[in-house]
Amino acid sequence: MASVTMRGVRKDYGPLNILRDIDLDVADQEFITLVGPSGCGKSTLLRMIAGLETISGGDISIGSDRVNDMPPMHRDVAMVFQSYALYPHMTVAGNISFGLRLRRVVAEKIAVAVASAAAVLNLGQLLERRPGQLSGGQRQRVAMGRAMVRNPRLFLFDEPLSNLDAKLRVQMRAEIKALHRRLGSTSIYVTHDQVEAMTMADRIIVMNQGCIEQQGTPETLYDRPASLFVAGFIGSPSMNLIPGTLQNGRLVLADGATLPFPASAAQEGQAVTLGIRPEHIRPQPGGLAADVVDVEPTGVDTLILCRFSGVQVIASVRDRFRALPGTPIALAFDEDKLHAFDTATGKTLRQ
Amino acid sequence: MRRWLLTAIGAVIAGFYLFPVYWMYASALKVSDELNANPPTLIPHAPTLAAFRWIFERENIAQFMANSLVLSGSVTILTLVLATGAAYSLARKKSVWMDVVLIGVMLSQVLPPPLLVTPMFVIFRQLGLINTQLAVILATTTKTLPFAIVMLRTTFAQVPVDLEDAARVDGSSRTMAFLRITLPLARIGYIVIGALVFLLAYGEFVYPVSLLSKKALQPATVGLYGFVGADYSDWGNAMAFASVFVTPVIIVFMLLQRRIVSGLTAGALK
Ligand SMILES: Nc1ncnc2c1ncn2[C@@H]1O[C@H](COP(=O)(O)OP(=O)(O)OP(=O)(O)O)[C@@H](O)[C@H]1O
Ligand SMILES: [Mg+2]
Repeated sequence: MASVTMRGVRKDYGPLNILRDIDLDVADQEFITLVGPSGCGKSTLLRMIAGLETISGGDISIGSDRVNDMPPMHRDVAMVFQSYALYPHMTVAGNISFGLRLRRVVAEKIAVAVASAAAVLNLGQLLERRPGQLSGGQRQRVAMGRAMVRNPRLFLFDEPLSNLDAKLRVQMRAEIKALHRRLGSTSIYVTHDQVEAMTMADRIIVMNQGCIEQQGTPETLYDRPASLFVAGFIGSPSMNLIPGTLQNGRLVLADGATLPFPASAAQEGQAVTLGIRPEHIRPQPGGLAADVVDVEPTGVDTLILCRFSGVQVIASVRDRFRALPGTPIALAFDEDKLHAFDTATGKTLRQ
Repeated sequence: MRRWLLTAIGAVIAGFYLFPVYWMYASALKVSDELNANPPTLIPHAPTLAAFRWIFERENIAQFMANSLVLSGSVTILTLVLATGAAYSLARKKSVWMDVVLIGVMLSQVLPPPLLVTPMFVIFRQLGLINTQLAVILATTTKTLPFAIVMLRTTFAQVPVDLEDAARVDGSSRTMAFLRITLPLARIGYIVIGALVFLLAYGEFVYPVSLLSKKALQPATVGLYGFVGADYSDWGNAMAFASVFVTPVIIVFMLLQRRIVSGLTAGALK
């Protein structure tokens, strides 16, 4: 087990800058998820930690070792690839034991390690098969087993569940969490799926265009997003963002309607954006006038899509709600749950 | 009905190509009177191995064949060893210069041996290699190497880089990842390309005929040529020689066909 430290890490491909100013501390035994839009550099960052990509600037340390120039074989990390990258010419047992065989571990110990990994991952019946004869979920488990048996000081996961169907994904998510709880191994987990990010992480790192946008516990990111980007990225359905200008402490929309605006560092007349989560809007007589665009029951909640002063907002309510499109509706906002952002910089105006 | 017609057309074309091969085997088994019979006979009336006995006893075909096998085998091994490094870096390194190199490799295949043989003769004479099999091996390798590089490059490109990355994270060096993962997965490619290189080298004529004047060193291609020129009336013996020469080629080719099919199913594992 080990901590990971990154200081001012950058990555360039020729003239193209992919990552810059990455400062990151991962504590021993911590489970970190790394989220961000496609192409923001998540895989690149992970591969740099693994040693599969060179580092263009800054320092990466694992435990107390500065690993910038250390080849992957000496870093003692394990990685689960999105493609699983199982060796097609080896059996499941051969795949799982490959790392141990390279280290010339004695055969009896290898057999024990493979058997216990197979038991945990429910692969006992499949040990003599080849990867080509396995289903997607089974391949995923083999990839996990290959990482596990080595008992590395750091686990890296690059979207390991993205090729699985929804049900299997939920199941594997729980298994990975349980595994982490049992082994206590430091883990960095890249995902597209923000439910995965929220549910698995001790701490989430949100990346955008080669930079870390914000890091914190899932609750922090949800309750106190530092920027418009994080506000829109974390949470589903995403936060309602309503742009306007600040006048006399209220948000004035394009058509002249006004909304309450939270106390903030904003100047009078500044272009600002109001953020509010769908669950903090509810229909209430005497509220602000809007029109229903659509109603989407999800089972647990009902989403009400409304047109409000030229912008679309989504309200999420617990109770059953029915209305035809075009019906007028009155909406109330929880005023203590409002978020304030600077429209120009995208940064929070929270004081 | 259409399938039937296509099959028939295919059979006619195949027959057209295979008939000379059949004629060669049939003629090798005929007695010399029957060879010149008019009209010619399709099936030998009294098959005899006399021609084969003659070429083994009098023409020493065993020596020619042994030379051919040694030359082609050496060319194949040398070509595959040299092509491996070049093809692997061409497959893995993405850069404009790699494309330039690749185009250069392909262009070098355009030059025919008859054009190159004179400068090669001069070079090998200065090195004192004339009348050695090494000279022919080196010369023939210059012809097979570009072909092997281009083909092996495709084979390596089909092995996902992720697999090597996984092996490196698992604890192997780059070299070890290549030897334990990439090379076994490129196995089918090596067999197919090796067989094709072998056939190319086996049929090579221009280089050995120019670089080897000692009969004891010459391969069967050169032996066949000298033999046909010596006695034009002896068709039965010439055909027997040709049969012995061509049979290994046909066997190798049939094995190759099987491997290509099994190569296709092995790819399904990925
Ligand atoms: N070898 C390379 N040469 C040039 N640019 C590259 C190279 N590899 C990756 N990139 C670029 O680096 C950026 C980050 O890629 P990366 O694969 O890290 O994204 P990602 O965040 O993992 O995206 P995704 O979620 O789609 O997997 C992309 O814009 C990509 O085009
Ligand atoms: Mg990625």
